[in-house]
Amino acid sequence: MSTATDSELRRTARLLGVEGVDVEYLRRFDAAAIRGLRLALAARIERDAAPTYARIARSSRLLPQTVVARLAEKAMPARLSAGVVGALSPREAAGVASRMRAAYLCDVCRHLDPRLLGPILALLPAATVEAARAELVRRADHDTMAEVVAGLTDDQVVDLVPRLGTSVLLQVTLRVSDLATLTRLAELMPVGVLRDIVAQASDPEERSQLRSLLDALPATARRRALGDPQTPSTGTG
Amino acid sequence: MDDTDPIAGLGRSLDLDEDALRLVQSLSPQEVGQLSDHLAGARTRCAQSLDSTIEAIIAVVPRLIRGRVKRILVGR
Repeated sequence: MSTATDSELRRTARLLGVEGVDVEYLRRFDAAAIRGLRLALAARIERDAAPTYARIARSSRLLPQTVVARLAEKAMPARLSAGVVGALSPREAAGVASRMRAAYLCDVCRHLDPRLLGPILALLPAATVEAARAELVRRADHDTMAEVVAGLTDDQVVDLVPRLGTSVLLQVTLRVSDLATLTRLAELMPVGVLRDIVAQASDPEERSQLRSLLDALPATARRRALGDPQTPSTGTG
Repeated sequence: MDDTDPIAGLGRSLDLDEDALRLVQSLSPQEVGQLSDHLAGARTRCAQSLDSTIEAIIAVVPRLIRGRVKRILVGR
């Protein structure tokens, strides 16, 4: 059993609007493969709706972004707002996102194609990122946090990730389904935080999963997390 | 590719990376059928939800620009 696989199954079921049990047959595949399938399914669903999303995006340019944010909260399911994001420029999307209430913004993030997140997150004011962080922690929505963390800039990872707290970070780490993101996080996070995450995994199942993840990392990143005489145990290493 | 092969059909309709393509190719015909049905259902629900959302947007948009917004959204 893998937390990352569980997480991908939940995301896939949510995308398709079905119960978790309906996608249980995908459990025999690894999380990265399920993620690839999920992103392809999402793109297929989006392709049909793209012309309408483009029209909604065009009409949104007639209004101030504060009004657009309020109207979206009032009239649009978060899933559809997430679809419209693909028809906006990252600057427009960040402008509207920064004017949304954190609760609605986090709902949108739950449905957003993770490939769109990076350029938008890079343009968000720190206060918006912090409000979203607090809301996701309050909800214990580790699935969404893992997607958001993967899209953060290097500076945002260094600034925000340690503030998630070690127990949350462990849950987020276990839900990251691609090796490139895990490697990047392991290279950016302070050594002390990394080792606290490893120490936090007290449950045998979590420890075993974390060990598998660490084994897949490049040697330098693995040494940072597990400790090495050459690597100082405090600071950013 | 066989046009009647459900796996080939699903593979063609999706832009799959290598891992996901392998995944789809190793699904049973029943699983492919289930996945295809769920995908079709999600596409239909998305279209229906968009239709009702367009109506909702037009209803809440400020009256001053409602006509312009409506023209963009529904083309009339």
